[in-house]
Amino acid sequence: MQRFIDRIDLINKYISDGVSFLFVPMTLMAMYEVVRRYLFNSPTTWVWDVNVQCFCALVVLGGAHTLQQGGHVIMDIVVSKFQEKTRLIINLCVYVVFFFVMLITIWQVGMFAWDSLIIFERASTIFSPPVYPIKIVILVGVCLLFLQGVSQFIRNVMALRMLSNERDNS
Amino acid sequence: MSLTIVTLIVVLGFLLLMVLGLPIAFCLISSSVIFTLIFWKVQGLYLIASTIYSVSTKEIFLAIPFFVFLAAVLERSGIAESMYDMFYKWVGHLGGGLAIGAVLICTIVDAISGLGASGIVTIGPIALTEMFRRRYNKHMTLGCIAAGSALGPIIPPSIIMIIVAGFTGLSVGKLFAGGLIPGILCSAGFIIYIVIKCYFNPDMGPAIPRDVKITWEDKIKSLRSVFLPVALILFVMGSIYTGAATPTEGAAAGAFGALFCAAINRKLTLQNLYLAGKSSIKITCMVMWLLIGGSLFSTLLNAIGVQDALSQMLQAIGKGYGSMILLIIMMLTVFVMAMFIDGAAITVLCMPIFFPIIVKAGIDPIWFGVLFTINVCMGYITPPFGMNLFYMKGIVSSDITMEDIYRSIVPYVLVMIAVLVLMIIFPEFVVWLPNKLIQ
Repeated sequence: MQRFIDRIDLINKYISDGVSFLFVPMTLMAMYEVVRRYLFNSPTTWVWDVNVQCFCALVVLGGAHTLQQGGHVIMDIVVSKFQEKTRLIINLCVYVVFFFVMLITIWQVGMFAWDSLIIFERASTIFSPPVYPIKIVILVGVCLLFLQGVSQFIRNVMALRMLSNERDNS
Repeated sequence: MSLTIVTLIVVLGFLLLMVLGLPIAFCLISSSVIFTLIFWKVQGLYLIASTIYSVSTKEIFLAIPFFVFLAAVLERSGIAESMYDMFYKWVGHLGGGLAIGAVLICTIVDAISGLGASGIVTIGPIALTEMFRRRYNKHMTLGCIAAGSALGPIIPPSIIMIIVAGFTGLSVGKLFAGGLIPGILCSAGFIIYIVIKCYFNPDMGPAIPRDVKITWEDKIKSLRSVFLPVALILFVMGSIYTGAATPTEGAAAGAFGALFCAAINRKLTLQNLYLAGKSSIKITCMVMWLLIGGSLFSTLLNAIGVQDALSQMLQAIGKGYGSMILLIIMMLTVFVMAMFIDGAAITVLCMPIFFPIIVKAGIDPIWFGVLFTINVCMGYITPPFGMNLFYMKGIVSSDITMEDIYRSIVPYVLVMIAVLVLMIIFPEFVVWLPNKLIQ
């Protein structure tokens, strides 16, 4: 079990680190476009299309690791006042809601990606890049987010079990 | 079921999830999904996927990762160190001079970065060490840095304003221009406070003794350090104000400029790029998932009529007591919320509800957007959960308690409240520049 959740954490970390390298090429591409448009008056057609897709990938693929790092904004004034055991139990309940919602999200995003895939959908811009790959990336992203949730949940259960073991021993 | 009860259930359900400690972004998504199933129709769920897609590919929001990356590169570019050296040489011999210098550098950093804590992470460590070495009072030292960098989203560029624009359709350029004067007034207010305080209590910020001789040549040479940041500011903001570039392009150009500055200072290493990317992706995802959640939630509120119910309630207040009272109620709501939750989350929660009412009540939307931003920024330094206060705690030694930090910030919060009230009484301060610059 430990190995399973460690692996989830690690995969999400690698993916997040991987997409974080997109920042530099995105900046360079955008700068190239700005220079082309304002200095040479010949804008490219592809830069914003590519950049927007990079942006989307960044957001959906980085979300899971951000969750693991506790990077999402939380209001924990109330919960932090409770005892550790109560806090862990509350957390478990909250994650059950999270799982339910994420499963619906995966289902919906799956259909969204599928609808796009079967018609090989393209963007309605001049460059008109295919958009179904990025919609599949969104699906991968929400699946990873769900898995990260599972990992957090198991960690929580383990902490809870450890806590009750300590109590039995003392 | 009557609309009032539905509204109550939706709001309470969301609050319950939030209080139980689910990240706010997922509270928004979860309550949207659950209440769509209960009060709306299953087909409404289709919105989840399309919202994730449309928000994360919206061009205006593409400015966010660029501004975040810009700030992250700037932190590691070595710009702040040399600027600090310059202010040390120019104003160090004045009472409280180092604190004034810290506020000024924060203001410059704020004018490059759109985040609320860039100042702290950029110059905090150096400024703190130096001020403690010079026996500055700890409250003086802590307050000026935390407050100075909280101006980040008021002084353009600003991620909060981009979010406001994304939710309301206002012009980003106008909002940016509107924030300039209040931002500078806040910064000036901080400096006046430091000068007065140190004049009456010289122990708060002892001047550097005269025997440390700094020649004019040194002073002139040190001026070089502000050249790059100022060029960067003119480059980014100039291109947005003159309409030469969209805010997104301006942000990208700024990020490129920051990389360039880092290269000049020989700080553009792979290690630094990796660290900058790593911290940027965390902040970008945090903000963007909030935006996804917020858009989803506000669509749901609209669909089942909750937004209308809240609007009617507030409008009734507006009709009964005048639009000024309405504005004050909203400002107080934001002020209280900002004590507890992050600025981006407040914007996402409040803007979709407040904005239509503001427009109907005939209040200038740009003015409101700027006031809202000032208020949200104040939240970065209001106890108990001001984000900047925790950033400060993270960089100080362990003998400084959270209470010290809370006490240090009070005068600066008062200055910001004074500026906010001034802006409410004299809207011209806010709306003059945007109307002048952008037709």
